[in-house]
Amino acid sequence: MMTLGLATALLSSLPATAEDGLLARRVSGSQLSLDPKSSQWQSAKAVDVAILPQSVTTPQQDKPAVDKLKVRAIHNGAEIAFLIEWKDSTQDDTIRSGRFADAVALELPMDGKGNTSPMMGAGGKANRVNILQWRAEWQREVNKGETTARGLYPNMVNDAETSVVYKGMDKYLYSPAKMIGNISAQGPNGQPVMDLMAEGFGSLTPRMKQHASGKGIWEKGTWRVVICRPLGSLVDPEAAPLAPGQASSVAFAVWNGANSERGARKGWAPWLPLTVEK
Amino acid sequence: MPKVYNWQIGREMEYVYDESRPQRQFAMLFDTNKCIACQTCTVVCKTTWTQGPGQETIFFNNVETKPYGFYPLGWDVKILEKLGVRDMDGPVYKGKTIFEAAPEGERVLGFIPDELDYAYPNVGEDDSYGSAIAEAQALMQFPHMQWMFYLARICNHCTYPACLGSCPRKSIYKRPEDGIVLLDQSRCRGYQECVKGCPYKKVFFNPVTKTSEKCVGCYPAVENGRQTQCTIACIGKIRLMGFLGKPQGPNTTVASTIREDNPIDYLVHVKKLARPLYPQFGLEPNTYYIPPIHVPPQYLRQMFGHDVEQAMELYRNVKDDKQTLGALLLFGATEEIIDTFKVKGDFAYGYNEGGAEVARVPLTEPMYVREHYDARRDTYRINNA
Repeated sequence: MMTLGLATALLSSLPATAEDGLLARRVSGSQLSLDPKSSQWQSAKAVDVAILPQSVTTPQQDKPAVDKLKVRAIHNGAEIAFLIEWKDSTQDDTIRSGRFADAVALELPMDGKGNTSPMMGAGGKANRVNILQWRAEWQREVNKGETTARGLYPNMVNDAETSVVYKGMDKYLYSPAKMIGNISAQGPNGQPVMDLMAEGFGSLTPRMKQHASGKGIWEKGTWRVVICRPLGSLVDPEAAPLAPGQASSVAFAVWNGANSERGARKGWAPWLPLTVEK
Repeated sequence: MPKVYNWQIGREMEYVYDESRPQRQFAMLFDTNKCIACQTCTVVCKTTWTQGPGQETIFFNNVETKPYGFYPLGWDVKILEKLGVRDMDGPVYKGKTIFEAAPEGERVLGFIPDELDYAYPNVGEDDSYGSAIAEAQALMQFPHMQWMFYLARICNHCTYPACLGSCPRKSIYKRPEDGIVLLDQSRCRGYQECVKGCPYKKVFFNPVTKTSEKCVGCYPAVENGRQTQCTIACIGKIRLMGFLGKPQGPNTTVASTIREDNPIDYLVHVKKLARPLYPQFGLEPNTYYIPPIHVPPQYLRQMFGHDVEQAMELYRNVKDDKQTLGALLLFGATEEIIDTFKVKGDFAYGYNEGGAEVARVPLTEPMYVREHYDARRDTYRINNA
């Protein structure tokens, strides 16, 4: 064990560049930890990913606040996990009128290689991509429970709260987005990560089956976010194929809520070669 | 951007999508001269659609006191300032619309109100306060005569909605059958681009569902031939909801569907008595206002477009125009949507789409004069009118 530890420590210290790509190291254990601080990440080599403004489609934020992500990946043969870290001086984890939450996403090509456009699957069905997005807003709900108006505005005056007036009736009676099952409104299955598909700008759609999980922690001006999903397409033929010993690609996008970044107003990076260790 | 025809500004303009007019267009008329800001419309809308958690500051319908009242705070003056001073003095608007003035990388010129701008609906709008009360005078001295009027507002269900054009996900759509603009609650991801784009600020963000929400035009009622809740609840009978015909564009192959016997068409297109709200924004909004006749036209021209004086003059003399008076008297006369109307003798009649009479209103209310002393009952009446 000592020799293995020494070897991995040595590997981790080697400089990595985006050109080298991202190597998802194989680790032992039947389950990957979702903890960004877990020791499992020590074996993975970090890659710096430069973030550029999204300037292809409208609307745009021409000066995204995040310019760099530090990314690691590991897998255990059954699951693959990514650790994404970036500097952000504010923790924005609520969405209100004119206030937006921090978020990060990774994108995997459905062709399993990345010969297609990295831009949200632009070009149509043949270029489809699988996107896993983590939002600070969902993380807060996982940690602290469902968003309530009083939770957001503790001193608000309301003389007729629905929960009191309509006691015993459907609690989503006046929450149409939740009533009809909008996953953005409900949060994805108690996880802070949503599993989505896209085949061009504006086509982003949550998948019927949500496989992703994760966890994000903000500490001392840094977000550390883990995004995890099962390996292989056997689980779901509609998920982007990823298997041990195979090469694919991965792309990233990041949003700084304090800079009013959301949707297309974001920073992003093109395909990065991704190798899943055999 | 594609070129579309906007009859309210008398020219073609740029829009995000091609021109696609509905078969008929949901429209609402407001007589600002009759509104007393009782807020019955606001309350009936709220109890019908928006009393859920996160909807506390969502008012699909609101009534504000002009010129210094707003909901949300400063909504119109902020976008007017961004758009800059524009000439409103001719039938063809030569300035830029909010689509044409969109900055690089944006689809629409817009802004998102601060959350505090939604926090105090109507508070202070009609109040005299401070030393004004003690000294029995107005608090502020203005360089002009003091005047005010009430402006009732709902979503304009625009022909060229900026909310729809702003949404990068096409979560907002305009129904071809009636032109009602709806926001798909299953597709919205809460980017608030629609809130930013709508110059009327009639799309609201719900922080609990994390989606944006807007006026639904009471579509279940409209589908059943019934006017909206805000219209039928209005105690001042200031509103009329119905359908507006398509005007003929510069392309003469597009036939006009304007009918003189449709009260909405008659007041908007034929008599030009009801005017669109801020037509210079370029959305071709479909709520129309009869301008308040006591307000300086310089102000009203900015709000309701050029030649507003003509509408004010017509309204002042409406007692001499039986047809127009008849159309006005059908406001608040029935819960059903009036498809056609006629004035015959001393009555105005309204008919639904099936041709059935749904309203009959006398042009002059009958007056009964009762004597001060009632000899039969040997009693005196205080009210002798």
